Amino acid sequence: MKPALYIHIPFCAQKCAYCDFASWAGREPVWEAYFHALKEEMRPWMEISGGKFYSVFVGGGTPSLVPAERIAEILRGVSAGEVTLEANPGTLTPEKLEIYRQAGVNRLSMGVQSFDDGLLKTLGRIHTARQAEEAFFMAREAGFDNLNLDLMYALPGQTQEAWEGTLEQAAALGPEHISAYSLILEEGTPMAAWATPQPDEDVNRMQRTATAFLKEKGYARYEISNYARPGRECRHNLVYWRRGDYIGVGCAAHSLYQGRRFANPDSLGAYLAGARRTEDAILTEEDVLEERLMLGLRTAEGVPRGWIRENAQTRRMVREGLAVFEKDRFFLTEKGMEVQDAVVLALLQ
Amino acid sequence: MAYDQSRIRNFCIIAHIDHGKSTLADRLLEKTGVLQQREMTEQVLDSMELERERGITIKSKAVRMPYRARDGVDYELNLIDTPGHVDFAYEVSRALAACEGAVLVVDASQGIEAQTLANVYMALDHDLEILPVVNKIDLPSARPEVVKQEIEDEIGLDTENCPLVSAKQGIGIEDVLEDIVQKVPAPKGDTQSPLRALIFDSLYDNYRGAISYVRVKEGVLRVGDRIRMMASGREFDVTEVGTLLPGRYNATGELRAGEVGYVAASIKDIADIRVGDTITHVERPAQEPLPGYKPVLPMVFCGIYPADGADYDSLREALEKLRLNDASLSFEPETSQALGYGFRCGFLGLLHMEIIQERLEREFDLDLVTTAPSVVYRVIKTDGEILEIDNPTNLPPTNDIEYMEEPFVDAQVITPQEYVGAIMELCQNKRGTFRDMKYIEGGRVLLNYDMPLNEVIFDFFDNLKSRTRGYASFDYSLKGYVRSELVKMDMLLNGEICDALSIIVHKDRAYARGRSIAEKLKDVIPRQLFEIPIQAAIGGKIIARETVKALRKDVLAKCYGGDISRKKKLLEKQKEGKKRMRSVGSVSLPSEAFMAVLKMDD
Repeated sequence: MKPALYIHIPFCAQKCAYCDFASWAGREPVWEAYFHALKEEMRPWMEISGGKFYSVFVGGGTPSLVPAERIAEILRGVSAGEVTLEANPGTLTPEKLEIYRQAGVNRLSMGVQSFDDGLLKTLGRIHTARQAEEAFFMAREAGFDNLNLDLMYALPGQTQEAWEGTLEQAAALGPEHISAYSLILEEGTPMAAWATPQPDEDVNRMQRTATAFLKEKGYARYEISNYARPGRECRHNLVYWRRGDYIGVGCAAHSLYQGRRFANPDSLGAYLAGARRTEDAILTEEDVLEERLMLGLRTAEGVPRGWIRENAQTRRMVREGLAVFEKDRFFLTEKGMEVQDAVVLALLQ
Repeated sequence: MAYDQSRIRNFCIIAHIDHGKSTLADRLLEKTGVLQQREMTEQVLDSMELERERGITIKSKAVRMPYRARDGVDYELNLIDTPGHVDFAYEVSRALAACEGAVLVVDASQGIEAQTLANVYMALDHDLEILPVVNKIDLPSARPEVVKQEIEDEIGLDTENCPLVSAKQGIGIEDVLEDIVQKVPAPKGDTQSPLRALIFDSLYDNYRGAISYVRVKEGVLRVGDRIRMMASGREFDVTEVGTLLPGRYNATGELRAGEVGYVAASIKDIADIRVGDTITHVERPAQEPLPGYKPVLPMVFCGIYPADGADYDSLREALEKLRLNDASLSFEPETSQALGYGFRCGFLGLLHMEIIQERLEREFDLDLVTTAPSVVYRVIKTDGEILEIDNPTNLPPTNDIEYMEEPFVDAQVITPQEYVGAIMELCQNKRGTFRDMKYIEGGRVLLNYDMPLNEVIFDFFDNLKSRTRGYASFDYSLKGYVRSELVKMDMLLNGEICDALSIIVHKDRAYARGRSIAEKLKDVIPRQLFEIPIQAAIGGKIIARETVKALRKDVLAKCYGGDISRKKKLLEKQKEGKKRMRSVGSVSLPSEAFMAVLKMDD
C-alpha cells in the first residue's frame, strides 16, 4: 500500500488562545523560503511513490491562509484518493476554492470549533459563526462534496446547551464528517493561564451528547473524536490509527515509515536552516505492541481479537461494558472509550 | 596529667527534652578549653544532623575535660552524654552506671517534666549524686525560685546553692563545674583487682573496627591485653586504648580504674559488643560481671520495603551500615505478597523506628514503603506452645490459639491541671487503666496509667500533644505481658487479603479501626478501571466496607498530524506511575496506602 502524505503549513493569521502546535502568525517573509524547502523535502518521496499516495492531508497552521497558488504548486504531480486541505472559515474565497479544486483537493476540513460567537472570541478565532456558515456554503458552491467541520467542547464557560446548539447548527449544514475534540488546556498556552478545566462529569456529558445526537443525524462515531456518514470516514485519519505508513513533510511533521518513527524539528528556524528528521527511532517490538493498542482501540473497529488475551481482566472489561469481543475483533464501547488510556494501560500489564 | 583517682569526676547530664542539656554540655567543653568558641558548631556532642535537627541525643558519647578548679587543683572531668528519649532507656541506664554523679538540668520556665522524673529515678537507682541546675534563667518567663522549690518538693534535692544558669548566654557555667568537682564523688576501684570495665556504648570506625566506650571500674586495661566480653564470651586482643576528645580519639595506651575512654580490638561485628557487658582479662578474669546487663530486645517491629523492588540490595546494605553503629537495630528478610522483598525490622521504640526510617531515606537516598508498626505479641497455642509474634501475618489460625498476651507499659503523664480530663479520656480510649494521680508544683498533675503498648505506638503521642496543646509530657517503661482479647484484622481489596495491611487489634477497638482504615484507603487509592471494594474483616466476618468508584474519564490527547508522541509520553508516564504502585490482585496501591493503618483521627 502506498504511504499517506502529510504536508504541514505552520502559518496562521493569529495564534489561537488554546493552541500549542507548531504554527506562527506574522511570518509572511519566510513563506517563500518555506514552500521552497517543502518542495525540496517532497522530491525524494515523489520519486519513490511516483506521486501516488494513499491519502494526502494539508494541515496546519492554516493552509488556507497562504495564497492558493502555493498550495497548488506544492500539490503539483501529487495524486491520491483523498486529498484534504485544512481551512479556516475566515480565510476562504471562491477564487481560492476554485484553485484548490483544480489542484486536486477533494476534501476540506473546516476549523469551525463553535457556533457561539462569544466562545469563538474566547478561543481567539478570527472568524464568526456566520462566516463559518458562509464559508461552508461557499465550499459547496465550489463543488466540494466531502466536508468536515472541526468542533470543540469542554470550553471555558461553555454550557451544555451551548454545545448542543453548536452540534445542531453543524448537523444542519449537513457535512459528511464532523470531528469533535475535547479542549485540552496545554501548559504554556494563554488559555491555560486563566481557564479552569470543566469538571470530568460535564466533559463526559458533552461527549455523550455529541455521540448520541450525531448518531441520530446519521453520523457514526468511528474514532474517539471523529464522526462520519457511512463511507465518509477520513482515510487519512484512519491511516494513523491503523498504523499505516505515512510521510510527514514540513516543520514539526511526523512520519511512520517502514518501522521507523521520525520527525522534523518543531522550530521553524531550524527547519528553514535545513534540519530534518531530528527525531528518528526504530520501533521495538514492544513499541509496536503498545502503539497497536493505544491507536487501534481509539477506533470503533478496534483491533484483531488475536491481539488480546482473554483473561479475568478482559472478561471483566466485557462484563462491565467497557469492551466487546466480537467474531474476530476486540473493540471498546462508548463507556470504554471514555477511559481508553486506562484500558490500554491495563491491557499492557 | 598523671593518673590520680581522687581527681577524676565522672558525670552525666540528664534533662527533659529541650531543657538545654546539649547546650550546657557545649558550654562546659568551651569553659574547660577543650574547644575554643570559634571551633564550636552548635551542640558539638550531637554530631548527627538528625540529632541537631530534632534536638535530641541518639547516641551516648563521652568526652574528657581537664579542669583547674578554684582550689588550684587540676581535675579530670568525664562527661558522658546520654540519649534523651524513653526508647533508649537501657542505654541511659548503662551510661548512668558509668558515672558517680548526674547534673540534672531543669528549665527555669518549664519546671519538672515526665522525663525529668524518669531520669531522676534512674539516677537514684544508680546511687548517683544528683546536682540540680536551673537553666534558661535569661528567659523572660523564667521563674527559678518556683522551679527550685518544685525540685525540693518533688525530688527532695537541696537546691539552696544550686547553680542558676543560662547555658545559652554562658551564665553560671563555672558554678556547675565547681559543683561537679566538690559534690560528685571520686570513683573508687582498685587498680590491682582483676579487670572489670563496663561497656556503655559502641560505635563503628572504618579504621579501628567496632569500638567500645567503657568505664573501667576495677583493674587496668592496656594495649595488647587479651580480653573477654563476659556476657557474649567473645575474646579479642586490644589494639588501642585511650580517652575521648570531641570528635577524636586520644590513644593513651591504658585506662585505669575510675577512668572513662575507648577500646578498639579489631572487632568486625558490632553485635559482639553488647552495651552493658563487662570486659575482663582472659588471664586473671574477674569472678563476677558488673551488674545490670540485659540483652537489648526490640519492642516495636515494622516491615521496611524498597519502593522500587530493584533497590532491595541497596536497602540491605544501608541497614547493615546503620547496624554497624546501632546494635539495637535488628532486621531480617521477609516477603509480602503486596510489597515483595523487604525486611522485618525491630526497634527499641517508635522514635528509634522513625529515626532509622529517616536516616535510610536521607543518608542513603532510599524510597521506602513501611508497614504499620507492631509490638511483640505472645501467642499461647492449644498445644501449649508459646510463640512470639511481631508480624500479624505470622499469627497461627484462630483454632490453634488458646489465648494471646500483649505488652503493657507503665505510663506517666505530667500535664497542666486543665487537661487532666482530656488525658483521662484519651487514656481510657486507649484501653489504659488508671493507677494514680498526684498534684505537683505549678498547678500540674502527674498521672499514672497502665497502657497496652500497641495503643501507645499507634497514635497516642500525637493525640496527647494535640489534646494538651503540647503542654503534657509523657514517659513509659515496659511493665510486662497481660492476657488480652486480641484479634487479627485483615483488609480485603477486591475480595483479596492484602497481607501488608493486616493488624492485630483488641476486639473492642476492631470496628473503629476497621472503619477508619477502610476510609483512609478509600481516600488514598486512585480510581481505577473497575470499582474496588475495600473491606475490613475479622476471620470471615466483614466489619467495615468502603468502595473506590471506577474511573470515569481520562485525558484523550488529540493526535495531531500523526504526531503520537504526546500520547506515548502520557502512556509512559502512566506506566511509570503504575510501576511505583504496588499491585494486590488487580488493584494498584500507592505507598501511602500502607501508612493508612497508622494514623487515625479520633
